[in-house]
Amino acid sequence: MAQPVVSVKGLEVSFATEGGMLNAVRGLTFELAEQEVLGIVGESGSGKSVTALALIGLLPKTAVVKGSVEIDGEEIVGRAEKDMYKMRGSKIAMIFQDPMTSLNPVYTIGWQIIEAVRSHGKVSKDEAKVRAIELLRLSGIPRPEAALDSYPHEFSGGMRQRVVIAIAMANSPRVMLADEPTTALDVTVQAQVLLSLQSALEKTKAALVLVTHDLGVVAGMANRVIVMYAGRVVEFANVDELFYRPSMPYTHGLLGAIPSHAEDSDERLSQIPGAPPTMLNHAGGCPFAPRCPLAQDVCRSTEPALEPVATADGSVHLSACHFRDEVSSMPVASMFKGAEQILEGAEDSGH
Amino acid sequence: MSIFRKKGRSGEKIETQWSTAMRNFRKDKMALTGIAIFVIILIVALVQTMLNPKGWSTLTTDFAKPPSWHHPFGTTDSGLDLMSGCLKGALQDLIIAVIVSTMALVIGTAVGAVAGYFGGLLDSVLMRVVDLLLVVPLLTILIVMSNIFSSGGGSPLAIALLIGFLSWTYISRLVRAEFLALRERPFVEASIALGASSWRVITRHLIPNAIGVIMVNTTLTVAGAILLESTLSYLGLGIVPPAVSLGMLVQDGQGSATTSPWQFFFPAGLLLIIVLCVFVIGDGMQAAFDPRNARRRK
Amino acid sequence: MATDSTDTTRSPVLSVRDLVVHFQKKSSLPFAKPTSVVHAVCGSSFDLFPGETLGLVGESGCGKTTTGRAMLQLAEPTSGSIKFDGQELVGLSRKEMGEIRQNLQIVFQDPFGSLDPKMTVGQSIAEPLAIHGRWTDEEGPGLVAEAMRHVGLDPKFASRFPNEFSGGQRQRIGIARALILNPKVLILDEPVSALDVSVQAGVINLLADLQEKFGIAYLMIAHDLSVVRHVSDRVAVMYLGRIVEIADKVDLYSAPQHPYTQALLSAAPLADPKAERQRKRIILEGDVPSPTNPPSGCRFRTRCPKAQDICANEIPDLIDRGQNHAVACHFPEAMKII
Repeated sequence: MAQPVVSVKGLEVSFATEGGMLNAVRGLTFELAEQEVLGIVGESGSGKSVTALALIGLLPKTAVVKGSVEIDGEEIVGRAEKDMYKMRGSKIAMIFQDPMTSLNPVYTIGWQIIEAVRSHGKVSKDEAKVRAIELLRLSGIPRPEAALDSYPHEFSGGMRQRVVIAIAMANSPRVMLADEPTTALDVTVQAQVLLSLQSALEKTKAALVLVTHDLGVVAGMANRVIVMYAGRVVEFANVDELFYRPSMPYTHGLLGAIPSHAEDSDERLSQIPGAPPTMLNHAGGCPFAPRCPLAQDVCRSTEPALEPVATADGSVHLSACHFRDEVSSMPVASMFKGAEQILEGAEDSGH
Repeated sequence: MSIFRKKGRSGEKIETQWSTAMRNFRKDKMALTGIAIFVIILIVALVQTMLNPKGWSTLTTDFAKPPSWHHPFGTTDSGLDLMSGCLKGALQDLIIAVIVSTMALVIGTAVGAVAGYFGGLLDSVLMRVVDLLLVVPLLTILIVMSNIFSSGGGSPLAIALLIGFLSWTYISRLVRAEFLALRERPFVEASIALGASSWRVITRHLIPNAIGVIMVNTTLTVAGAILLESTLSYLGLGIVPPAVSLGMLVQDGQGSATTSPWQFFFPAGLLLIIVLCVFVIGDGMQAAFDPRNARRRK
Repeated sequence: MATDSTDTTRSPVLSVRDLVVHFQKKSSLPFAKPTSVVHAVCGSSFDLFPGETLGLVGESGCGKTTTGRAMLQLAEPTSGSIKFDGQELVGLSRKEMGEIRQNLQIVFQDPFGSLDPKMTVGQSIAEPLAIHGRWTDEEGPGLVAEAMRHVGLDPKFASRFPNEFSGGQRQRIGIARALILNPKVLILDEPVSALDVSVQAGVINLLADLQEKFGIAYLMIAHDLSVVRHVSDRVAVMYLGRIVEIADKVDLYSAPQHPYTQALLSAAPLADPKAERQRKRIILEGDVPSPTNPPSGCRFRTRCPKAQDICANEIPDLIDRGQNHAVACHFPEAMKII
């Protein structure tokens, strides 16, 4: 790989809470090249959103961040807030789930884009306006000249999200971070927004980190995928490897849990028993072991390292499972058949 | 809620909200201290007033004597035993406060509940009445009204009813606001979908969820009523002798606060302690009624 | 969950005809000019047969949730007819409706909001019994425990409060509450959309099991086409207050005829990277128009690639085009969507 745009090494994020240290992200490592799309999937509380915030340096002050995040060769971790300003927008841009939180309701769309264009370079107002119209057109806003004078509330959710994408593109960032960018949108609007996002990538040649719970969106957008569970990367592979040869039982479970609208199946969905662990004071052993139908003694005592699985095409496929090679040759989600728990218990509050 | 007190087949007791709240309340040291002090004052006041009913009307020759074994709180300028007066006054204040807060609780909750739950014209009319009562300064009304009432010799009951009649607006507004918010919560709709009557929705879902607000503000009303009565008495418009209240004693005592300070500090201190106790109890109640708080406080 | 829904000799348990629900925002000030009317549902008709699942899909604002709520008089129908077991529900008093509710229950979307935080789980599940005067101290607790076991919850947690449960578990509690009176019809309003994928699967499986066990008919309201395909026997697609297409699920998904259904299917992502690379998406222009001022004629015409003059002038009727596949379009055409 050429010089990566994003290089994350051993990223750890933890929060001090009343109940002890909460390890939100543990040992995240990946590299990303230009125009590459990395999907980060996981369920609520898996640490995927915290990861996104860590990459752009927007974590609350209570967070303890270790490891290294390099964007275009510049280290983010430990950087002073003053310097982060310059990075945001110009090197790295963020697209949040709710566009209302990232657009200021009291300014026009035009004002906000022009502001973004001019914040990272000496551009005259007129030039900035021309550029703003161009950006809006690129992200698929009809009649961009008229849109400049509109306020965010006059736009629908999908249109707002496209404005956010236009703003994100404004300074040709090296990386775009999108945290559940289409979760709040309807499916036909989601398709429009994903299309805008794709054309934004082509235009800016940026890399994209796409955080989502939606495996369908990942299948269509990502080149490579990270699966997170309990703050840890449990599987990393290119998109085909991950969907067709998953090597971690949790990934199997996720894939088996989603029904398809393209084919009929009267089969039961695979159901992962139990609930995700809290990330307080990790006890040791594989965090997925309590819910895993294949768990052995070794799983409960030793946490598996994230290590390569043999692949047909020689691509990198990492899995954090003691039985990664066996699991990768199993049919998708087969281990969950009949593994349903009869009764669900309330989590023990235990504190 | 008797139906839920039975043990489930699984053997675990199905608790009511009240029993849980009480259990939580019992773990709250501050509130328990508040209750303990409050109860002690009440008992001492009751016992003293019963054992020595004439304590406050028996003139002695000890004029303005500082505290001693014989007169623990000292005596007044006119030679009355101040402890008897303070305790009798406290009792009187508490009776007034109970009447006032009960009225405020009942009227306020009912008006607020009806306005908040049914909305529409009923809400508009009720809230305009509340606005009317709120825009006129309470004290002004009280002063005018008590003048009329006390022309025949300000009876404590009349004062209590008067304050009570004017004190429910605050609770009713809070209950209404609370109901407006709660009404939109999905569990209320769920209950309506199950076929629950308005009465059931209000009594089983809305009031229990608003109980924290209701209880806290009722206790605040207790404190408010005591203070209001004291203010009236202080202004000479409240209770008139031979009845006695702490406010009246404070007023009597303040003139001699520098020369014989016990005449001012004992009734004022007692008033302060009672009001503080009531606040602490209200605080504890709020915490006790919130199950999320409850578990955490363990 | 497969039931033979082409059997038209059966009588529907729920029969909806020309349902219209308009919301008028009333101003609280007298003499204020009347505010706009939201045309939430405009003339929907469908039948729900015993033991089957009818999926009701559409995007936000299409009126699917209002339709479900109208079944229970949580939204007041402006006109039309809703018959439950032959009995007309529109115009029933709250009291008369109470009887019906024992057989017609609803599970809500929000597992965190739909349980009273001040009631224990046991109290919540027992509430329908109490409301309908069917609680007895002898049998009640047993019924609650049984309902909890049916939904896969340990009855010993009956005395806990909702905040101690996860989203999936709360949704199970909501289902147990809806189930305890043995209803014939369950309205499922986005029952899994707030849940994580793995948890969602558990709830979907549970609903399938319960239907098999008790023969309940489901009206499944959802925006997720995959979930709807998985659970339904028949599917109705709604757009801006109208049903635009209704058919057996196999027909609807394999040969959709309405351009909106086609666009919807084409836009929904598939968890299959190879298929995703091959797909050609139909990307609709613009957004759903406002239901306060819907377009004339066919409501989809403003975004429809096939729209002609007639579409602006005439409302297309929902016409059965064979095999119970009804479409409301002037130019229907079956099309395979991948």
